[in-house]
Amino acid sequence: MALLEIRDLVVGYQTQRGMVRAVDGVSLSVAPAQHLGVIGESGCGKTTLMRAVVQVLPRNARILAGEIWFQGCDLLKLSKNEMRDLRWKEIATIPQASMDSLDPVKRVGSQVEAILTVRGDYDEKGAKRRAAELFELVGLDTANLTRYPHEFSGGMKQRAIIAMALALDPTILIADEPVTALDVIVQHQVLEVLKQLEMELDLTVLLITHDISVVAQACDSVAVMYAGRVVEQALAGPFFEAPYHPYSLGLQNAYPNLVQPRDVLISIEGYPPDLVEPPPACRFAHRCPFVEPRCRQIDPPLEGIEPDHLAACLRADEMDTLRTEASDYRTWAETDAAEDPEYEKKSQAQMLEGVASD
Amino acid sequence: MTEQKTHATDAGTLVWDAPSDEPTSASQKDSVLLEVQDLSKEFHVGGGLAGLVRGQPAQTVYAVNEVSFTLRRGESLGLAGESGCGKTTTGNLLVKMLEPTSGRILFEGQDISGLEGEALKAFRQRAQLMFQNPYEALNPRFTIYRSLVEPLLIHGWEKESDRLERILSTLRRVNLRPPEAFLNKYPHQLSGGQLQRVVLARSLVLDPDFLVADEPVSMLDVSVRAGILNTMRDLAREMGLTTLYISHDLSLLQYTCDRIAVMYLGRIVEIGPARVGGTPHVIENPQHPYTQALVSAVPVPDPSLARVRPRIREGVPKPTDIPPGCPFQERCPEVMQACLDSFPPWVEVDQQQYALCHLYGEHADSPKLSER
Repeated sequence: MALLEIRDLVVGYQTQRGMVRAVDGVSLSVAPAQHLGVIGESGCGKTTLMRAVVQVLPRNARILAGEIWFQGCDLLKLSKNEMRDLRWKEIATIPQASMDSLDPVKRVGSQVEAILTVRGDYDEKGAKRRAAELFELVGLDTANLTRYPHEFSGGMKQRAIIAMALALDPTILIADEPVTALDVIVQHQVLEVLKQLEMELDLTVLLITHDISVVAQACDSVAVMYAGRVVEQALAGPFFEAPYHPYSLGLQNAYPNLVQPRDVLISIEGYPPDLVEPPPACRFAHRCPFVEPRCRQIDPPLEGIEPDHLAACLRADEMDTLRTEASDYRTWAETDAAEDPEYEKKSQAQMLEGVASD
Repeated sequence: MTEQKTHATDAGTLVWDAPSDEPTSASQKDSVLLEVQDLSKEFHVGGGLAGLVRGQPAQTVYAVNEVSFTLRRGESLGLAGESGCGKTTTGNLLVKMLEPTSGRILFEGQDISGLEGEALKAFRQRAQLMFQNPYEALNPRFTIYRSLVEPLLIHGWEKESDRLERILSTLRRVNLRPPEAFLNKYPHQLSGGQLQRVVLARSLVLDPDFLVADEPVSMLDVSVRAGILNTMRDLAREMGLTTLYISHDLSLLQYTCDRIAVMYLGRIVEIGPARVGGTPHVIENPQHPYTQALVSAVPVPDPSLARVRPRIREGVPKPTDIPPGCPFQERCPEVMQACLDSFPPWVEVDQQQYALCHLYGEHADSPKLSER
């Protein structure tokens, strides 16, 4: 049974131009102890999705439809206080850039203790003990408890943030770009810490990132988001071996691979469609090298292609033959967006950036 | 090389009406454009009134420490390393945005430190810097035309028609088409990928010989990254541009560069060819333990590829108290007694591949401290 199940969720941002449907009909389920990686580019709705789950959306956002089931109750029907009780204790989050949100004038240890005493049921002594325990858990020397954030390196800060997220022993951890600002060596080590904790604590993780290689390192299953939708969902092994959505294929071939480098990386020209008025067709059609006339008329549903492998593409059944073509950069020079120089819809990514930072 | 010529993303259709002297002709290709000799840059931290009150004197940080390398005409060198290793400072020194504390930079044999007036202006035209964050590199109140015309005005392009023609051809080169459509746009009307192309166009509009690209795609989405990298790679070949790429991302440098240099605490610890006979070289045969750790930490977009785990601990020592001996000793899994006692030698380990490490010097057979 799924621990967290999102059903047909629609989240919009009220803007002057109209309602921007940043998340537009997303269904996702996360099983206990699953480590799901959500991949997508800026503006695809991945952060909005995460914020909708814990209901910390910006003021101009509205949840327009859908259900979010967690441990047998619909989170969207809970009162503010009930939701507050779930946050951190059941559903913990590591928001984007949270390592820069440590209070610079308080010792890191006392910031951890504050969570334990204010949100948890710890007394002062218990909080001290638990804070030390948490630091050891994430591989930080307990001597660091009395230090200030400016004495921490980036990797140490991120470890402290992970320790804080896990302070109240949550069931599920949602991490938004947890390693993005870190150097490669530190990034690798922080991901290893996360992986180890997942095993030790039986944690369920939803990891949100733009970096397909982070998912390859840290997750056992993958969901690819594009223009407010999930376009592909699968277990990590089959996904990386044989993705079914052309967008996933594009991402895979656009990413430099140090172990098996390719001569020419592909580039997916164009931008996602305007989410104020998305076309009633496939949203990737104008950027897709395998587009057919029917793709411009039918909005493809997310369907099972193989057991545990879903994709939203009308040509998914032909993908075994198309996959080879997709690894050739020339294929990607023949999409509508690449061939039509006048094609210059304003970048959805940029518009959403403006909206979400309100 | 020939194979890569044919792929040129639209390069065949690019028109460039610059003077017709071939910058990539064989004789010039081998000539040295830039020579860096023992370049160092110190910064002073602390001190001042607050330091006086606390009794803490100013400390010296060597952001760049005795760095030497040469760049041949048309060559691209990638500079890799963790944050704070001095790679950006090196880039800024090379285009004379900063003055070195010691050492020399020879541009076509001429020391750039003494440049003044017209000679400095001429140098600025030939050596350009491309910034990291396209969202901040352009003035939001300037149209694209105005951003691009400024360098031309400064460098004395008097005829308006010439300026416009140069701007249009540059925009076409960076694949912003039709170029006319972009002239009157403001930065907020363009996407990140288009903006970075404008930033690239601005650094190329004066037809420079040397370009320093500081993290050119780190702010962009993966799907547009490759487009920019391919354009830069094609342009470098066509224009015979000499490029220094600065990036923390080794896979990106492997993709774009002829040679790769790895910096650690202000020093180049390894430098070598990116490819030998078509196969990756430095990345596949890293010699310095630090390069080995960096390479094994780079995530790969395929979980089925088994990787060796990096064996070093995180955390660079404070640049104000670097230990004597090898600067990498505290994190090195192969550390020997010699590493604590003396500064490592610069050894040619493989063809054209150099490492700053005792493992390849006279102490090669000494026991590792971890084995004792």
